[in-house]
Amino acid sequence: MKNTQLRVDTLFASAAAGSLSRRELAKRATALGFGAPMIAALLNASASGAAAQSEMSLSFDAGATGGGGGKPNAALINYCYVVNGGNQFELNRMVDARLITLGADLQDFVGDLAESWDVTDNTITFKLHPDAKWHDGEPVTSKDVAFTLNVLTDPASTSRWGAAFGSIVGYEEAQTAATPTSLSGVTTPDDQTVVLELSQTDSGLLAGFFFVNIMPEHILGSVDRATIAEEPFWTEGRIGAGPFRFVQLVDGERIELEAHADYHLGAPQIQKLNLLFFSSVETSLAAFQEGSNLVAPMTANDVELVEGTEGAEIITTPAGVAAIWFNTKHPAFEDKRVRQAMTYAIDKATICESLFLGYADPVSTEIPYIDWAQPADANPYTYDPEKAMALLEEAGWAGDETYTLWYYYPDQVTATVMEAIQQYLAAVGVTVELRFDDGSGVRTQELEEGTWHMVYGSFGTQPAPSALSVIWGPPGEETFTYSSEEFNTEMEAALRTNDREEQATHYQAAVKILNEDSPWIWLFDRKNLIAANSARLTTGTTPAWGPGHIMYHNHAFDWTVQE
Amino acid sequence: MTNYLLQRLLHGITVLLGVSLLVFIAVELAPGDVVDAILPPESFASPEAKAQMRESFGLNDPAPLRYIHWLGRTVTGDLGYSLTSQRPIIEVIMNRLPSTLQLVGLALALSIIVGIGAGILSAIKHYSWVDYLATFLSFLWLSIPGFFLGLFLIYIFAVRLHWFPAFGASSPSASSPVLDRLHHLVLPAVTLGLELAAALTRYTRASLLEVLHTDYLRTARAKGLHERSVITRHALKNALIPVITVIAFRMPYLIGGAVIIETVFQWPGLGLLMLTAATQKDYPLVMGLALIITLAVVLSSFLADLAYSLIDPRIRLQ
Repeated sequence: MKNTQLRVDTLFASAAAGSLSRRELAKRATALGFGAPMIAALLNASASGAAAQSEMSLSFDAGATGGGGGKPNAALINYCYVVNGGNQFELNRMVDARLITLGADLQDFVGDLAESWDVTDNTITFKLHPDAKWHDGEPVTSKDVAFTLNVLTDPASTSRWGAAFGSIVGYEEAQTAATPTSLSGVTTPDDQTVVLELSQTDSGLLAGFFFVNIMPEHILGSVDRATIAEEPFWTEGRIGAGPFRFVQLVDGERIELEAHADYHLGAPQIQKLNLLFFSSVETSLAAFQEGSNLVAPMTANDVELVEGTEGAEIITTPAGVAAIWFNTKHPAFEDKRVRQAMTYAIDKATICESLFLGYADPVSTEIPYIDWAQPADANPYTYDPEKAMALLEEAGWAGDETYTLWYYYPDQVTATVMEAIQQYLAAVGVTVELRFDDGSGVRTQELEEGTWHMVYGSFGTQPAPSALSVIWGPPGEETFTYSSEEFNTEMEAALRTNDREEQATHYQAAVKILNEDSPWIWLFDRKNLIAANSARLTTGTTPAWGPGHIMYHNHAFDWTVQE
Repeated sequence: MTNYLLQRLLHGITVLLGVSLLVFIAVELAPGDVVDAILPPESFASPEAKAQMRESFGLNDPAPLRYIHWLGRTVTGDLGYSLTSQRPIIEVIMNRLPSTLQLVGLALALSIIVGIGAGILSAIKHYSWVDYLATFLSFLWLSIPGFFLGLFLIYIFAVRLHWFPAFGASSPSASSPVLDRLHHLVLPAVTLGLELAAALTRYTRASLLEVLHTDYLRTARAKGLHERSVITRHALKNALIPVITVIAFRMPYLIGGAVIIETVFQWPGLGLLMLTAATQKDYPLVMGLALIITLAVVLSSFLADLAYSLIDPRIRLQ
């Protein structure tokens, strides 16, 4: 072979002249080290162009119930919160702002857009933060609050949140008006003040604001309220007043956000934040282990894996009480002795210890985490299969039919718990067939037709006892079948007083009625588990993680991330 | 040739119509509808909200009427709007199609290179250690479920070695979008391609072994041709005909059925889109996707026939 100097230019020249065979070309290119730099470039291709400490990613809806977070229903992304409240709460927490909300620990009201508020028997007055700005630079004013309330209470918008404001003067008129309405009881004396005049004392009204993101009147003010949920605003050019602004939805992958420098509570320290979509919880955790996903949902089965990940911390948040709901209109479950018997039949303590691995507590009432609303004499329904069988016999239970028990949480822990429940019930003579709702619509059909038997699910973590009426009061009667005049009377009395002690008396009585009637079997006060990389992500001194489906204040503007 | 093309076109249209009708009937027969998916019982949406949504989606029209409306729009190129996202279906599909084509393209290229190459080696050196190793590996890849292989590769190459990303098709703020996309493509393409590569190895080996001992190859060798020329210029062409059939039959799976791979790697392709659309009863999107996938089947079958005629001059398209 000629003693040709091995250089890039000679290599290319020879190849162009056709004097090199393909094999010889490959050999010389490799010798020149083309392979190594190319591979190195490929392996480093995903290196971020931005400073690593100013950007972070977390699983979308990391704190969602039952470890199912990060798997948003694509439809719910595109439909704004007005009609539905679903798995998009992570987005709402980051991009939108509420007047008031709860702290992540669910204990106290926290102001967001509202700097202060004053409650009397007939009015609620909010003072807005003077520095609050929309992401497009416009100031947030009292007009935006009034606009939001008018949209939510307008029947044309079919918003599920409007009923929470039924005590505002003008609400009843708005329900029958032919044209878009303004609530006469909402006044805005100046840009920073909103006054709500109430037709009656309503101590539950403030809690209604926890789920309400204030909408920009200057953008959505002229939109048809009947189709407001279908506006492209919600996925393109979405404007909020939260700590992060919406940049883009990368279809099937993530939502990209960037810091809102004019956020009224302080500019975020993280410049870019990505909410990642995962169709598989395993992939979400793999990404967490890899380090590209700093916060991921998990279940009790993943504890060992997460504890073995460097820098990882397991955070628990209330997930709501898991319960079995009965179709109390079905002949088999009309008798409360049957429902009570099934409550006694299930060993909740053992399931909490052995299947939830301690990440759940046995309970027998709803909202057990709201201490002041709990009756001291609630029946704990401690495991007692003998008592269960005695009650069933007393009620004339035949035990010759099989009943369907639906569940919809997709995680393996739930599947195992369901099998345990099935066995406990079988031991006392109640035969159930387990059915998982994979979204096929069969369960929904049964609910609409009233042919369902039982469902294992949760009402979720509720911010206030006033929410109990949604399921067990008149609004929930058609779907959840329970109706009690006594319960409704106690709830009504609690709502008509702002005195906490009086409220407590009535709420405790209402909870006791449910505990006694057992329209639901309240089983486990579950915890959502979140894997967080606390070696890299610092969330400040205020608790940052709460129940996934409540728009609690996460103080995301305080977060910092290190390489 | 013209007659042949016309026949294939007519055949293709008939298949598309038949598939669209079957898919529509299947979606209709499934319980629930898109409104139930968007507003499940746990959303506590009011009956009025559901009714209004059903009306705005046109779900109150009779099913045959809805199918006819859909057909009428489709022949003009308008696939309608996705009920769940309210975006034009063409736009929704076009957003995902490049990702699918990239994944399928790379997976196919890898599987052809690796599968046919290993099959040739295996046939030439049959009953040697090379043959046994290739056989073992091909049966291994055929036996391992795709999701397990995917998770395994993620664990080794992403979590432990940090060589490749664990998920997605792109990184936020990547300095080089093209290289970044390629970087993300490697693991899912390898996972998707290995199974086909294993199948191609087996078919190529079997097919080539049949051809290697034929008289015309003996003649070629007797003429003094180098063994490499005998294989590549004479044997391979005939051996590839069944291999092309395998590739053609696998194409629809690659395009629309890689939902498991896309789920594991969170790859935003058509498979995942189809799964989501079917779960949510977004019937216009399901039908649009079914059309695209059926078109891919029809096209790949046509391309396979063309390839046959190119490889084997005895085959004439008429």
